[in-house]
Amino acid sequence: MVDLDWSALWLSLKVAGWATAINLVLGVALGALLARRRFPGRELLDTVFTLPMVLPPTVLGYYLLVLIGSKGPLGRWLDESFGINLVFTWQAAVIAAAVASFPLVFKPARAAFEDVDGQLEQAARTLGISELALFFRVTLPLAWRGILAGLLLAFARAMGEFGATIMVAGSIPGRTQTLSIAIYEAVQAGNDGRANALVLLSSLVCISVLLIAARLVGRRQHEGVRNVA
Amino acid sequence: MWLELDIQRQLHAAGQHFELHAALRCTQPKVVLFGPSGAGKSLTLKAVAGLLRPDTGVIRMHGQRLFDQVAGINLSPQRRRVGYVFQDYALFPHLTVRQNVGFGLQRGLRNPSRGGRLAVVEQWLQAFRIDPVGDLLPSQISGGQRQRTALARALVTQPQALLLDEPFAALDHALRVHLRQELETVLDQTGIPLLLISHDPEDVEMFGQQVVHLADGRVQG
Repeated sequence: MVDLDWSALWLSLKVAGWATAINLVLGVALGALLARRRFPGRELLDTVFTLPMVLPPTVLGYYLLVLIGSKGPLGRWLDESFGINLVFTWQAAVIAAAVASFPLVFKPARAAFEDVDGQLEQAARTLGISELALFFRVTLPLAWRGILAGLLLAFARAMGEFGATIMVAGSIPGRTQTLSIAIYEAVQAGNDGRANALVLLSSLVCISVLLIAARLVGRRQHEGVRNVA
Repeated sequence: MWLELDIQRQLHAAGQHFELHAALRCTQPKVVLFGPSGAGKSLTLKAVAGLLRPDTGVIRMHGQRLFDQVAGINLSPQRRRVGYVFQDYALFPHLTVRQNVGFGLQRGLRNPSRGGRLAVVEQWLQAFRIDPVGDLLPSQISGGQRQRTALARALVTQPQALLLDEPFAALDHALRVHLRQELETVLDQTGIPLLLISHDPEDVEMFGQQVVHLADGRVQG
């Protein structure tokens, strides 16, 4: 019973880990951009970035399929230039999970950056600190707690991604069959023992993430923001 | 004359219209920009520091053009080398007093370390008698200590001028008298010129070798 289960768990962790890493970079950069720069179409962009949160995951999966599928603009370009076909690979699952969980990093990141007092950045400027340096020395440390909370939620969301993932990555055991998809397949096949084991495993992972989150956030609350300095 | 400016700037916010037209020539080392709230004092000071871009005009400090709209010159705040103390001090809340003071001396992407000791920083901590609270956060010290930290942070970088925005407004009277004296001593020792904005006549008495009156965005004769 156990051998296949571990591969599904491992795959889910790998997919969610990569998706969260991508969102750390993109969510923080775009959150900071929209919080600090004023440009036409800013709120429209915000709406587009928030869309994955409200769109049905299957709709999201369909859009991704249209984009990265062999007939899609990105998919064809990747195929013709590099011979890469993303559909039905674990990398496609990463893309699906990253897109689905992106708003959970982007939204809190933007809010956290907007909460940072702009006067502190001005003070840093008068002290001769470059824009890049003041981002890493003032803005990011002060916004970090809000971003961290978003990252953990995004990781949990990416772990549980189902609808978009099954459309672009399918359900190939050992290759693209993540934990949540494996559960669905087990139930469909009437394999109750396997479904029970996978559900238990999935719950354990989610509870662990929540406990880690509570610990991290709790410690930071206790010690103020000193740790990140 | 260490500072000369003649600037204009239109501001629109929430249906309100404000026009700043400030012209001043600082001939004395200590100058007070005096006027009621909303007269445009802070805007003028921000323009000198490079934190507000005028629509038109010229700002010259020690003969160097910081801003010249016609010539297309607008030095970044980083390159203007002025010490600026905000009304509510704008201390970095995640850094200790010592790290705050050393902030401008540390280049690169990392803040000064908690345990680090720099001779210049220690010297300023002692000058303002904040060395006993050097390892505390701004939220853990008194208002007077915060004000001294902000002053030390600005002075440690050896600025070519010190710009203070209502520096004593948040303090009680006894402390104000004391801190004015402290600042006066430091300025006389370092020779750094001062532009201070205030609506407190006692500031004028102490630092107003030259007084510029500003009301409704205009310098009053």
